[in-house]
Amino acid sequence: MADELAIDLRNVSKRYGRKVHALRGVGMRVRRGEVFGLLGPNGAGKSTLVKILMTVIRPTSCEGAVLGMPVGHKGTLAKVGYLPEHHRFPDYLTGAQVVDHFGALCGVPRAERRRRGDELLDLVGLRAGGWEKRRVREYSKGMRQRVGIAQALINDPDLVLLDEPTDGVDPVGRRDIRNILIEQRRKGRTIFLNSHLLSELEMVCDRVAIMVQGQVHSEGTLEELTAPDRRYEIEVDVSPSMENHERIISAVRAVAWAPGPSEMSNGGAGPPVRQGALRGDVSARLVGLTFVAETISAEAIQPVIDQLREAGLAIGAVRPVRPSLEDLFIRAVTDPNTGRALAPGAAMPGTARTGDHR
Amino acid sequence: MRLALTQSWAMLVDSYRELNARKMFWITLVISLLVAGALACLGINDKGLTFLWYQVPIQDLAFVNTSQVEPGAFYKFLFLSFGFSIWLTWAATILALVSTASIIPDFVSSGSVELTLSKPIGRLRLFVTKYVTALLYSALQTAVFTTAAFMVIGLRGGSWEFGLFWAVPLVTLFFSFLFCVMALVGMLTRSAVTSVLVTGVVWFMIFALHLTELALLSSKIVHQVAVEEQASQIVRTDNEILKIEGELSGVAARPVGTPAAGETTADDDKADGGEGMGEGGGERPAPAAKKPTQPWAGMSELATTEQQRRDRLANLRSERERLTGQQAETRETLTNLTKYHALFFGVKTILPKTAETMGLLERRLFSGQEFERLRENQAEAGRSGRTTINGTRVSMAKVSKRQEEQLRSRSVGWILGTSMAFQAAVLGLACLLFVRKDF
Repeated sequence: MADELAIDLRNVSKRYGRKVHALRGVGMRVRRGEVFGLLGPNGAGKSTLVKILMTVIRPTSCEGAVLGMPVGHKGTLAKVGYLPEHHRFPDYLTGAQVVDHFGALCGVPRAERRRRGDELLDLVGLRAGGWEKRRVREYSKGMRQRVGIAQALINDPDLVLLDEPTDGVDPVGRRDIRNILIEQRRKGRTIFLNSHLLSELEMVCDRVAIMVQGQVHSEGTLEELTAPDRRYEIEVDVSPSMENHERIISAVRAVAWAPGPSEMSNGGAGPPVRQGALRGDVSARLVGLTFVAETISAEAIQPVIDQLREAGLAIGAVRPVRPSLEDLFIRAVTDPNTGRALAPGAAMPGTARTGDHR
Repeated sequence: MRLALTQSWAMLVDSYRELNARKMFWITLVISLLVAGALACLGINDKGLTFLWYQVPIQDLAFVNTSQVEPGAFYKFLFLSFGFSIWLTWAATILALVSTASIIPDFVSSGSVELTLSKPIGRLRLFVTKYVTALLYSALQTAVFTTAAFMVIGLRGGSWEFGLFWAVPLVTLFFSFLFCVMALVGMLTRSAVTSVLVTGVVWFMIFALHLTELALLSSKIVHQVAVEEQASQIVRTDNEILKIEGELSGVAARPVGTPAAGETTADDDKADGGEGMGEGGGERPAPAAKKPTQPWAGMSELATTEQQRRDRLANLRSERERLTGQQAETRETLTNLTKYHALFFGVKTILPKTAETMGLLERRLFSGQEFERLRENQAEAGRSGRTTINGTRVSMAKVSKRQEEQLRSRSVGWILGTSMAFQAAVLGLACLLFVRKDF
């Protein structure tokens, strides 16, 4: 099992003085060959965690391994590529020199550096127009990100950690970077992505973890993480009125409903909501004229559709709904009691739900 | 091993590229060559100093001619006094400090340090390698200037001084004593401006301490020489007193008519033991006032001569007493100066010795005799004078020579060893901070 893991962390914590507790016993597993996304709000501890893996920050406590070696083992870093957030390359170097310099620091032989450097600069699109021979100070933000990715790959790494790789990059550049990452996964490399751009992560990540207040809130594949919130929605095509709302309730009463009055949502301004349940203990509700069933089973909603048709109600749409990564993220970073975003790095004991959805 | 070499070489190449990108590096280099060129324009002939084809009409410098100084020694002295001591160790060093001030702050700045720390290099080796490669600035500057000086001394002075290349490690070491402070401050504050300012203050303090120590040493030697001079004056006075006393004893042994020897001696002894040693010793009633009981022919002259001797003896005793008092005062001052000098010397021992480090180059280039000859030439030109300590005149040439001997007697081990120990301590602290810091 350990050989299958590129990163295997347990009980990683980091304190700055007595007050700031940046990481609180983080545990995380990243499998070899997958693209793993780490997301979380500002101050959640994502960059601190990555810096601990790259020996930039010393942890207060840490158990686990990177590529099978203990965290902090310098030799292992020869097989790890890294692009930090807000990186600053020496601006007196050209793009090609940046790639060559960091390759040399990884101990890559000169001939290999030249060959791979050319390939990588070509891959990130810097050889077009001879940009690789120009100094980094002349580069745009997007070009700096590209050269950063090239230097992260110069040592032919088994594991690549990219901290906000698409930061400041235009949509075309983001697509290019996404394609590069997919290509690297195809080559068997493990990619660890740290990003705010949830849609980007959603497109390339095999698994994700959400960090909140120095702890892992949830971790898993997108399927696993969204399963509890996946649902079917049946939209009845009638004019919105309380009378039609009650008609729908009457129509499905035989298969789905429990007695009880509807409640007006959103303080009376929103549509009426009636809670209920389907057979098999599937929770359901009618929100205005839309029937919502908390299930991923199409079979479970067939009796509802049948009843609606029998009652002569026209069905406008039947759609499976899966929450986006953004939905998961927002839910993770929102205090359920107040509905407000949680403050960074201020978790109270017991509020975080490490590995809830594993 | 191959990995370490590849990494170290990469950092060296990176440092060179960094220097190459700094305008100040090239400006300093050009000024270095101009300074060497300007010094090459100076020359000497049998009449004195020349500038290109013109004789310099300054009489004070007339002693600088080929009959007094070899052209090779002249150029060595010229480059040492102006090229190395003023240009390289002052002006070029200030430019180098300003130019390299941002190396460590840039290296440890956010966004930059993460990239290097994430590579398979230990932090200690990373910092030390960066530090050493940053000294490349000074090494390259000195190498270029030294090569130019070597060529000028060889071509114009006819002396190929390979010892001149000792300047490269010595000036680099000199620079490193200051750069280590800058590295520590840069590591702590990540500010190039603060690094330069603090290093400037430290350098000034080291220099002020050096000057104070030199002044105390000089003063100490002046007083030592004064004590010696006073001692020799006392010995001379004693000898003269003994001589006169002997002569007076001879007069006392004369036959009849002369005062009884015992009586005279008793009087003299009384005078010696009492008033004779005091301030008013010379004013006491002269024993010669006693009249002989039987004034024989010729006794009058004899009595006059004896009286003069007695007067002279009294004066000499008075003089001896004065000298002894002055010597005691000088000794007391010397004791205090020795104490203060030892204190400053002790403090200086734990600090880098920038001036003495550059002085080592002088030792390499000039033998003691050569240096002495140059000094004598200067003395002949009337540059050395005399000073008076407690009424004793002391030759400054003698003081200067003895001071030079003392400075030259300070071992290379003491100068470089203690300075490098200071550097090791400061650099060690900077390394410790770098190794333990979270970036």
